[in-house]
Amino acid sequence: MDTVTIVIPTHQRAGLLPRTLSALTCQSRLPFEVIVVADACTDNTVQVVRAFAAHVPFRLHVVEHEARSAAATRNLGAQHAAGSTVIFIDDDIEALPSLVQAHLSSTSAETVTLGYSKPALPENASQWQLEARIWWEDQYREFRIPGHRFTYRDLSSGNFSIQTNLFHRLGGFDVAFSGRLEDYEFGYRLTQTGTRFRFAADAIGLHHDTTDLPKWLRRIFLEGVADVQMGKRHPELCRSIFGSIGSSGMPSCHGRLLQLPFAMKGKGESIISAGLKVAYWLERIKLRRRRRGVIFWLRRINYWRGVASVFRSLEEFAGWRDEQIDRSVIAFDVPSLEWGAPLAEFDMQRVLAIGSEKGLRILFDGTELLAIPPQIGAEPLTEAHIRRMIKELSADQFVPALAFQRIASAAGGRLC
Amino acid sequence: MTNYTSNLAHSPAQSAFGVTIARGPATIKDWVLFSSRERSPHMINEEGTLPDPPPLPVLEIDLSDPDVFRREAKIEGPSPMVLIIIRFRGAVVGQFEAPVEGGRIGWHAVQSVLGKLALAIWKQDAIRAAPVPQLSASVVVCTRDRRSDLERCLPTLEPFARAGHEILVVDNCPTTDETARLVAKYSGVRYVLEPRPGEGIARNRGLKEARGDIVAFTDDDAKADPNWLDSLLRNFEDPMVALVTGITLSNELKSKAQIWFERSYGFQRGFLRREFDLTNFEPLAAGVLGATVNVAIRKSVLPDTGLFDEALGPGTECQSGADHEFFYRVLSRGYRAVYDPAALVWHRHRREWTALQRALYGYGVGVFAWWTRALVYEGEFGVLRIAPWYFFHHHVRNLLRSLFKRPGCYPLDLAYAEFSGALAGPREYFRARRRLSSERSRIPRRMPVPPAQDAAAAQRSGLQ
Repeated sequence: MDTVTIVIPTHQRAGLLPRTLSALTCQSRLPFEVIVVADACTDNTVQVVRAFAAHVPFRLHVVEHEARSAAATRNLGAQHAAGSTVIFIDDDIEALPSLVQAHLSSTSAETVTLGYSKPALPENASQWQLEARIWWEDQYREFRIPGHRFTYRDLSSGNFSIQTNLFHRLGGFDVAFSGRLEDYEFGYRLTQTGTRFRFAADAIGLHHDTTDLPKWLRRIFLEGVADVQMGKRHPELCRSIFGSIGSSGMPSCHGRLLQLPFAMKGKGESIISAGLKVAYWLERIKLRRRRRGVIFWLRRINYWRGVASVFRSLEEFAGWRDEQIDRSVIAFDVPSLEWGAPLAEFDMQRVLAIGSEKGLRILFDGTELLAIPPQIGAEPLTEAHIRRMIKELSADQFVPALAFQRIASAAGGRLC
Repeated sequence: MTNYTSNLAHSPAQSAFGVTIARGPATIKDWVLFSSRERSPHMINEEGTLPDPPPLPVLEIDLSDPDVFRREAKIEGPSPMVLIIIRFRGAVVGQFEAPVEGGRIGWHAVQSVLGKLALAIWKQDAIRAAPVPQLSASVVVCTRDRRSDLERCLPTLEPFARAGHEILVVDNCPTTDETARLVAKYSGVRYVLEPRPGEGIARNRGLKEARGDIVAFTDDDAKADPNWLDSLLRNFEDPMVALVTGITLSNELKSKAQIWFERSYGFQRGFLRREFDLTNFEPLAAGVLGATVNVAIRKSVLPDTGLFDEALGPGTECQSGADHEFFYRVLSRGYRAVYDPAALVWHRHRREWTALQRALYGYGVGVFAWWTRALVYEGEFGVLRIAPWYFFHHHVRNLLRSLFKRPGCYPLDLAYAEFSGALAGPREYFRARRRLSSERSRIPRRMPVPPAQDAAAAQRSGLQ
């Protein structure tokens, strides 16, 4: 039977810990070990945890250090972990009884399990919090769809589990990423080793997030900083982060406008706080679309301010970016796969392995249904992924697909 | 016959009898496209009068039936057109009008639109594959002295009772006990008497009495399709979804009023599933979602959103608007709403022209009444923008078009009824509120309020 360690990093949140810890006492699967890692805590975190340790049905200890870094704190917890699986949950997560059991139901050792951090709204939730909940739930809904192809950006460190060996083999989180995105960076290294992600919809932790618009904007700033760091660490990612092609969710900002964040170095903070005031008043009178417009720009400005804080000028940034992007080249000899004619299992695995690396064309009766570009930092392709992509064909592609479906059903099979 | 758009992906909703197709994110402008000129019928002749049309026959065909085009379809009656409702594996995927030639349908006309149905077929087929979640439902029908309608409605609901769901009939301030006696004949149907008149009051009673996780509403003059309830429930798999509306079609198009209503106003909102939430939709345009004739609500969100406003809706001064106001509150509290055309209800539209006039007046009142409520009691300043915009682009414009007899315009009496209703909306809302508050001070509260505090806490913690 697997042994489990739960690592809870915390910083100055003695008030929240009792809820987190007492939620763990009701788990359907026992026993396990819990390590609370207190990072630079000057409140009574340690006493609170020790008081709990006496009457909980699991081994509970607390480790302290002063690193002021979430990455280092999680690494320290993993170092002390005795279990063969380590589950990381944040101190604002209230676990439902099935959490540990669901994390453990993975079949393969080379799989990282992502939990479901279900957003729990505070009282009188702000507009931003309502929208953030929709964003998170959409994210998890996407994960639940069979055939979702996970990428490194799907790993969030608040509720996930991994084999302790694998964690140590990869060297844990990169402590150089002290502010943001250490989870993405770790996720990227995981995908590089061919690790698959799995979403455990029953590993529910209620996420009592207190983040609001101003705090989120500060994080966006740090995300800009961290994305540059990520590009420097893994140059092959630059294309997807800063290239105009396939920008993976990062706010894009083009042409002359991009000079703005670089030019406003000193005044940025006051511009942002003025924008926040406008957004606040627009929320008061419920002009939602105007408010969204303001936040749209605040987000872009702050992200690029973050990028600008690393470089002296736009020219320096552009030079660096172009140099990085040129280095990553995409192969021309993309293999193709005939979807109508089933392949032998072994051949299929081989084509999928090459396809994950170089990209893949899916043909049906000799006609191209879709072209899958090589995706850096994504899971290796599976048949389920392709089936899903066929289902999601856009409107201009679906009519031929429908015709194919008829052929396929006449032949006794279904396309997707 | 309406002309069909050629570009599938980018055309706006073209409807009543065109095939409604893909739509992008909704804006306020989209909403108007749904309800005004894009769906204007070519019913008014050159003199600007509305001729009395012969009854429009309705024909349902299922494309998944392999012999569908080989079968003879004989159309009786003098109508030169027939309304064809197209299904695919049971779900409706489109409807349009085709000419009748010598008592037969020209199948080539049907085949020419098949390509336009492909998107709806493709998308709906993918959705149908999803399993129905294990949720209990209560179906609530509010009625008042309409025995003959209810007699047609209840048998269509019986299968849901056999499947283990609850059926409730809320009898709203009846003058006879006919409804009670009718309901007693059905074993799986529960009868609830609500003595205070007003549809909002009756619906709220239904919400309080219902024991299911999901409360589905339909009207006494409607008939549910066999897949109706399952199709609604399927959408609640997503924990964010608090409200699901379905498609409402008519299979009785006998009188002028019914044909006009289905052609130019109608309850259907297209044949593609759509999702609405704060991030892609303006809640003040909640009219896009549909109406209470075909809607399901997740009961656990009620402490957060509140119940229907009893000052709105049929039976009050405002005559309508309760549903859209409720939809607005669901959306503005951050939940998601879904319009799913797989959930089908057949509605019998009003037969008499005068009833249609009253209904349009009521729609005019309702929309401005609930916007008044949103502005005054919810602090929605967006109303100041959307209300004048809609008034000029819908009500005033329709009235002017009718006055100048532009092609495809509303009959003048209907345009005027809606216009005058809109003007009366805010006044009628305040009148209704005043009446209600004076009544409340006289009558003690009958029903205990649901334990809002505990339920609100449960909701916040995300437990369904």
